[in-house]
Formats: sequence, C-alpha cells, structure tokens
Amino acid sequence: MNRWKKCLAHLESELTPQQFNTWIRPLQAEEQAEAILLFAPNSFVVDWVRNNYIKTIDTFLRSICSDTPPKVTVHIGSLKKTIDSPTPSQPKFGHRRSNVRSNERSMPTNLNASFTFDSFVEGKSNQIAKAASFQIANNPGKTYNPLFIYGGVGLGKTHLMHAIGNMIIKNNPDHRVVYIRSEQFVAEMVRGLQHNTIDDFKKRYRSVNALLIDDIQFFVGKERSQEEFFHTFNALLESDQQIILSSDRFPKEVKGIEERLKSRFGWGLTTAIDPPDLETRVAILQSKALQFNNAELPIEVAFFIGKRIRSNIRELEGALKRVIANATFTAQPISLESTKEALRDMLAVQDRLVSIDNIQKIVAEYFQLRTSELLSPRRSRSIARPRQIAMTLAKELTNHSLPEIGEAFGGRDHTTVLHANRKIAELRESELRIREDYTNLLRILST
Amino acid sequence: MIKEQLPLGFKTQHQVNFDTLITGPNSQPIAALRACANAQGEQFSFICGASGCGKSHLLQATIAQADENSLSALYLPMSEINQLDPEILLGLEQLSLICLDDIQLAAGSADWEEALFHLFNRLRERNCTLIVSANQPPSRLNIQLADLASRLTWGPCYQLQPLDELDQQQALIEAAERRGITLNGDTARYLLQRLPRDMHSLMDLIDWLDHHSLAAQRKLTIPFVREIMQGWQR
Repeated sequence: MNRWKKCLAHLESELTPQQFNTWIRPLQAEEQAEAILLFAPNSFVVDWVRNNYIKTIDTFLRSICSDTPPKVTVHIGSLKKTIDSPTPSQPKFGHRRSNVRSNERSMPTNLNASFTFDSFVEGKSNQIAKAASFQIANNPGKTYNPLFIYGGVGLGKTHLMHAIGNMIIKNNPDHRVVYIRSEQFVAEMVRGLQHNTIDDFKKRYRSVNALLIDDIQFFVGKERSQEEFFHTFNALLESDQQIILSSDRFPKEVKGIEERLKSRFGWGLTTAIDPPDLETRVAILQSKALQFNNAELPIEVAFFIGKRIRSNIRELEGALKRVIANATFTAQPISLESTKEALRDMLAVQDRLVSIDNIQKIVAEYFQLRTSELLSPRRSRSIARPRQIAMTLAKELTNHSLPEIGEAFGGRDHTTVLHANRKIAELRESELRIREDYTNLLRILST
Repeated sequence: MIKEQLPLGFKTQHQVNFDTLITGPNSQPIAALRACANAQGEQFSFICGASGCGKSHLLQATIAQADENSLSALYLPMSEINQLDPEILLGLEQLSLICLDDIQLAAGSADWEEALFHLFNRLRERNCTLIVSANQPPSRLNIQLADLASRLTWGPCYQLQPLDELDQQQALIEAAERRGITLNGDTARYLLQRLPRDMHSLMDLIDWLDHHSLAAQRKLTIPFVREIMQGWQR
C-alpha cells in the first residue's frame, strides 16, 4: 500500500463519512519520491484542505515514515492535467473536431452531433422557429442575421441551435462554427483579461463564420462582457457572418442588457418556441423512446404521460426514463399499468397541485391579488383578466365540467367560462405579456 | 447504581457503503445508483424522500462504490451551505461522479441556483454523472431559476420509501453489530416502539447506547435500556 493510500485509510477512520466524501475522497494524488501532490477541482477545496486537513495528513505521514516524510502540497487541477484555474468545458460530444482546421484546434465547435434537424420533433409550437433555422443553416449570413430564438425552459432552443451549427458544417466543412453558452463566453473573456490574452480572445471570436450564443440572459449585469460582445457582434455582422442567439424571453424583455445590444438583437429575425401541444408531446415521447430504449412506446402510454406532463420536454424525458428504468428493473414490457406505477409519486404531487382551489390560489398570488377578488363580481380589467386566465387553466388542467368551473368562480355561468377560454386564446396570440403569464402559470402548476 | 467505566476517547467512524444499507422497499433506486457507481447508470438521477429515510447514506454509498471502481467522485451536502461558497462547484466537471445532497437547502439562493445551473450544463457536456437528492420531488422544490428547475426534472426521479418495522429492526441490529455490541430482536422492538423511527434518530441512538453500554459494562437488555433511556435526547 502506498503512503497516500495508508493516509486515506487513516483519514477515513478519523473523519465523518461526510467530511471524508466531500473533502478527501475527491483528491487525486501523485506520489513522488519526496513529495505527494494532491489535486483538487478548485481553489475553494484547495484552501479548505490546506486549512483543515493538511496538518493531520502531515502528522500521520511523519508517524509512518522512518526517514524524512514526503512534503504534501495541494493544487488546483486533476491528474490528467494541472491548471491554474478551471478551464472552460471541452465537450466530449463535440465529435466535429475533424472539421476544425488544425490551427483552430484551441477553439472547439462545442456542437453535439446528435442534435440535428432530423432528431427535432416538429409541431405547431415550434414549426416557424424550425423553418427559419433550417433556412439560415442552408444560407448562413445571407438571410436573417442575427437569428434570435426565445422561449421557456426545456422547449428545444439549444437543440435548434446545435442543429443549425451541425448543418452549416455539413454543408461547408471549412466553416468555423462555435456554440457557446453566455456564461462560458464571460469566463473565457475574464481569463483573457487575467492572462493578458484578451487580443487572442477577440481575434478568435471575430474570425468565426457562425457564432451561436445560448441563454444570453446570463449576460445580465456583466457590462465588460456585454461591451466585448457588442464589438464581436458588430464585426461579425459587418462581414456577413451568422449570429444565432437564444434567451428565455423576447429581446426587449431581457433586463440588465444594454439597450444598444437589445436593439441589435432585433435586427434580424426573432422567433419563439412555445410549449408543445399534446400531439407534439406524444410524438416527442415516441421519438425519445426509440432513442433511449430502441423500442416503440405503446401509444396509450405516450398519451398518458403526454397528458400529464405539459410544461417542458426535459420533464417528459425524465418521466420516460423513469418508466424505462422501471421496465428494465422488473424485466416487464412497458404498459399503462407499469407506467402508472413508475410515475405514481410524481403524479400524486401533480394531482395535489392542479385542483381548482390551487389554481385560484396560485393565479391570485401571481397577480398579487386576493383569492376572494378572483371570485368577486368585480369586472375591472386588473381582476377580470387574471380570473379569465384562472378559468382557462382550470379547463385545461382539470377534468371539471364548465358549469363546475363557473360555480367554483363565484357561481358564474358556464358560458362565462367559455368566453374566458376564447378570450385568453385570442390574447395569447396577440399579446406577449398574456402569453408569458399564461406559460409561466402553466409551468408553475404542471411541473 | 450503575458503575461507570470511562469509555476510551477515540471515535470510530462507521463505514457507509452498499453493504451497510438495508434495501427494504428501495431495491430500484439502490440498483439505479449502484449502476451509476459502476459507470453504467443514467447521467442524471434524482432521489427524493423524507428526512431520515436514507438518502445521504445511499449517496455516500454510491461515492464509496465509485471510488472502488477508480472513478473520481465527490459528495456535497447542501446542509453545509452556510460554510461554503458557490465557488466550490467550479471545476467539478473534472470528476466522474457528483452527488449533491439536500438540494432543497439551496433553493431560493440566487447565487447558488445560478452556480448549480452552470454546473449542470458543464457536467452534461462532459458526460459526468450527477445524482441530486431532496426532501421532495423536483416539481415541489422552491427553485426560482426556471432553467435549473427544468434541468432537475431531466432524469428519472426515485422516491425512497422509509423502511418498515422489520427492516428498521434489522438495521438497528446490524448497526449495533458494526459497533461491536449485541442488540437482540426484543430490545430492538422495544426501542422502535418508543422512539422516533427515522434513521438519523435511530443511528444517533445506537451511538448513544454503545457509549453507555461500554461505560456501564452492561449488555443491551430491555431492563438496562429502560433504565438509561430516560437520559436520551436527540
């Protein structure tokens, strides 16, 4: 047993399992003749180990070494490579490296090869975004520039961005395409400033053929990064290189981003992705089942899951994976019964959430009203709109009849519920704010 | 009057691994996490269950097993959040497996939520395995950042069920055995009928009984346990 392994055994008996598993087990050790180098993932862990455990380690090593004990030092990094600070992610799935010329090897595309247009399930909620993306992928820099894709979480924005990037490279193998999350862009820029390599950073990003930046809302409050991004943006646009951006909201609604940037975001095409309808959710489930399990998902199972999980595609995937895990564990085929069993706890939680009472409570809280106001006869718009939204949600999320819903809303007629449904459907098409409010409430109530 | 012997002052830490875990009704989540520790599981899994049903034990057993398989792994209890800084999440994608325990304790903290969201993305890009636990399913957590909330629903969610009385009895007997003391079925039953039955309380109790049994040099019989139980407080 080497010295570090002996030390580990000693620490495991001395420390609580929690301390050992958090601070000691993740350390990677390199033993040298007169030293032991310990590698930790970040400076926080390095400092913690130095402050709390290094003395114990030194004392123990002195007790087991007959001659001079090894000097123990703690560094940031891993055995694979030693670094001064954490590097940006280098995705394993960026299998497009072969398409990147050797002199650009330091700049991976970061593209996930499995996110293509073929694997993107199209429905009413995303068909315009998909069509625009497809057109841009085939004519980068020439049609809509920039393309701004926005929509709620887990609806496929990132998938579309990767699909565009993958197709650009497929059509133009010598094109330099980079997908990056805004947080990575910021981290790289900060590193450039720290290491005096900011000019390399600028050059790198201003020389790509397509720049895809995901979740730009995380640029919020980072003025220096926004400034740099502004210049990168202008340089790329002037040379007709494609820019694709995504966010969880409409460009003008992103708070904490400079106005000049926001206005530029709207220069090209802005397109939304909405939550998928039932048919699309079922199609997504069937497609994912083939991908995860290489097997068809019974249609009644797909409808069962699709009806209950409405908010986003990630949650559909999570539920499907749970159903597949259950079937694999029990060695039984997937059936409606086994699906209900596997999702029992999750669905019980949802059932508690989507009663009419709870819809009224959550809608009232969301609009900062009292529940009693929603049920009152008052017809001012500030109360009537939330009431109509709540009625529409009650119709969509519960199995109550329209008369029952009307009754629950202060004894109203079922035709009032019907009118509310029509009105909200119409307003969701024409008013961005109503659409966002409705989507947010749907997410709160059904996730 | 009990004649006391002063127990030796050293503490013995107890092994937390799959062998010391009572399966009970939780064979599926245990199998799922064991697969993760063997690099054959889902990239992301969520474990939920009430306090004291064994989530932390299961997560730490997974870490120990991963370590045996030479996978670099880290266990991070969010119960320590007050002493920690979100910076601790930087660079964790260099490891193979991360277990985040009690994530509900980070809910509502904007800094932690954003840092966890970025960690999630980095782990996913690097194909690192992430296991998250909480006292409730993801949809019931008070996570403010929608981007993080949706990511927590991305994998299978397993609910850990509390052990039934027989399994708890077995867990008590085995825990006592690991500490070198004998606890018979009758005494275990006696304890379970009189005390909070979550595993945290029960394991604290076993430590306490171990100490007093050694001090008094008595076996854990019902009369002895009845005599000393009045002094036990969690």
